[in-house]
Amino acid sequence: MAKPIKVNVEKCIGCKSCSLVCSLTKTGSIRPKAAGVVVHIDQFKKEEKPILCRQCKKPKCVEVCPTGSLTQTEDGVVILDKSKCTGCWACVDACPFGAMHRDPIDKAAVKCDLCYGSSDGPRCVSICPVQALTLPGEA
Amino acid sequence: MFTSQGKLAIVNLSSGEVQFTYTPQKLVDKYLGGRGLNMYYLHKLLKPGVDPLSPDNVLIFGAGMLTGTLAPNSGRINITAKSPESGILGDANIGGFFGAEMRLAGFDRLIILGKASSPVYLYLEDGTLEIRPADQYWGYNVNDTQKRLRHDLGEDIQTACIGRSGEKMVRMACVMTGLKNAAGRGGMGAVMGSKNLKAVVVRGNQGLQVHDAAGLYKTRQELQQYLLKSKVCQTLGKVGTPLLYENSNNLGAMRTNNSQHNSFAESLNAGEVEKFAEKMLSCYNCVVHCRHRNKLGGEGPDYSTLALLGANCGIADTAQVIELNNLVNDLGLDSSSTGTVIPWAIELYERGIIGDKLTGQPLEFGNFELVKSLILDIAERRGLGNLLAESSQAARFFGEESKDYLIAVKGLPQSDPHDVRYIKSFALGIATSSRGADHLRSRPTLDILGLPAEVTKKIYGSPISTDVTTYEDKEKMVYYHENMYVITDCLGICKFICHSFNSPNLLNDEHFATLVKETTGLKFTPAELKEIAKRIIDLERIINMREGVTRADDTLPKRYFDDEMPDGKTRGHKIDRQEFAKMLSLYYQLRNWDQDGKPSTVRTAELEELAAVELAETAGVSVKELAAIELEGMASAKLKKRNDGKLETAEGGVA
Repeated sequence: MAKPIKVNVEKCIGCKSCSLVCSLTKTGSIRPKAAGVVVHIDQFKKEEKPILCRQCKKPKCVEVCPTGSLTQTEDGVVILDKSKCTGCWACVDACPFGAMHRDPIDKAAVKCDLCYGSSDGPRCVSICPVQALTLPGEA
Repeated sequence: MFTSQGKLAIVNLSSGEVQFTYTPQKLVDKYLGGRGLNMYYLHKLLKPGVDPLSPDNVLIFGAGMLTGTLAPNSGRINITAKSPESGILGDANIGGFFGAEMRLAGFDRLIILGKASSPVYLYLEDGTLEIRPADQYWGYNVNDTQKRLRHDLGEDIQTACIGRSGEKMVRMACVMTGLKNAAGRGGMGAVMGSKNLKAVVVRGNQGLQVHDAAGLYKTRQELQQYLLKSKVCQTLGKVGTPLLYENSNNLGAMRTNNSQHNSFAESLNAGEVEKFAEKMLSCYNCVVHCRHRNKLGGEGPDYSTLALLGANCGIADTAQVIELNNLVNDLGLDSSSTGTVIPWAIELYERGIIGDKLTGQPLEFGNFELVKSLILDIAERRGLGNLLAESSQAARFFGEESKDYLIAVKGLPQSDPHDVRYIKSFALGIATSSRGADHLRSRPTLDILGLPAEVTKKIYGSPISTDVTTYEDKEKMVYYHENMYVITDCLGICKFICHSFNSPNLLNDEHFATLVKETTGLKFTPAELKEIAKRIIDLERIINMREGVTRADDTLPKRYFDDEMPDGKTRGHKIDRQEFAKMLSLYYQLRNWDQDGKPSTVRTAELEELAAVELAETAGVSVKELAAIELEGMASAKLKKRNDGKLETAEGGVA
């Protein structure tokens, strides 16, 4: 079964490069708030926290999605068919980890699907300059 | 228009009028963005001789052409106005996340005119701009202002604001974002304060389009791998800029006790500072991450702050210096100027040039509590602090003789803690810097690396002397480094990944041309970028000449000419006036300036022709017409014609 990208919050420097490249991949433009991985940064609370989908075995988001835009593949990756998404945000409310993100421009959800279907693997992992995001099994 | 181009908003705080337009392509071709276009608009809109703290000053927030994009380290923006500290052009570059968010909200540039009748802040979101009351934020320092705005507006905003020092128009007040990032130089925070502008708040959801997403991603990956292999980038990422403290101090070139000495304690070495670091942080899309989160509740210190509030004030205790760093950041004070004028006053006191009657207390080096109280007094304009809040202009209270001990050029206190009497290229660099004594206009120090002739030939066009103490070839270095840094400032890229900043490698104009093409679709050759850089430096010169700058102002603090360095390996070195004058003349020749430092008539004519381009040409509204238009509130629905022929409402929608 698919395993989520591992996040090492201690290593994260808060550069948002992961969000940039993800949004470019998912939306065709640079919109770090509308990415599968969104980095929550609060310098005043000392937080740099990439938030992305954990690929739950029993995903609540899939359960609540009224349009069938969210599905789980056989190998356990939760994927989103943006064309079916109406932006009702039921998945955003249902996700216990805050890992479903809103794209307010396209009025659709955005989530990490491990760059499903790409032979290169997740771009956020490739671009992270400090290996704060790694694939399962990597350090 | 180029792909990713955002709006230019012209905000008149006196009338409440806001207009939107786009910078015409012919100006983008000549000035790129960031610092370049800021200078264009400053030159065009600023009337010479105006009081920088009056409503007549023109304040410009201008993002770089690549700011906010996937180009590495592309989080920077320039804030520009006439400087209340120096009286010439003021221009400060700032990292963090603000500039990128401004572009993600659809804005490339804000031109802020006039003065609000009561405190306001600007709120920008996805192509819209509002002038909002800021009474509830006035009176707070930098951290509390940002926390309150986040509380009230949500955590997905970015803010550039002033602290109390800016409100009180302290002439070295910064514009700040986050806990540490500062548009530090030249008193841009004082200009905001003079306009009753507490903050600019941005929220960007609409994002940026790019011309060639696949190409840009590939280039980014390649450049990142290249940069991460660089030892300079690796070391900056581990210990930040304090690494330079050790270099300068070991060399014997550390400004100490107002440059009366040139070496100081090892307790401020990077390894000692590192003990206070919780984590290293980055700005937007940065691969270097040179900013410390310190254990004392702030971020930093960087090298300049560390050394100027440390060595230059005679304070060796690492924790105390970090506490002072956190304090100036929260107050919104430029650490470079603060860390220059306080030691200046202390020396003046010790020499008897100023006395207890003026200072109200004895002044001495190495007294942490004294320096801390003076910093607080400067921010609040109390007692001696009220005089020091005038920065270099405090000389009018301290007397003519006091100027002999002020480490400033063109009225701007020197930023880099490096005592430039030893490295002659560095000396020329702070003398010619268009904003006054500053290292981030050139920092030409590659000669100290002793690079082989073939390497320096590749960089500078001909081999240069690697003897840092001679006056030979130094003009070539300053010329080259100045041109390079103009381009990074125009693109919104951090100098730490830039070719020739502490390294003969890293990103150069060829890399930048590729990034520009893939992001915007615009094509520039490296030679064209160099020509743009030269044009912008000429324009800056003309702006400064309008304010009275002459060759006589391209000089150095008197001490650098007259006093020999007293300590260590650099002992005995100083700047020879005649050799300096020769070096300056050669620099003028390279710039094609006459021996008075005046740009050529051909260039002047070109710049005048460009200045005649209508500010709102794409909107079909001239500047004069803009000023004359009375808008009814902020929700004016005036339609303007865009480049693409569509009509746009003032709210940014397309009709």
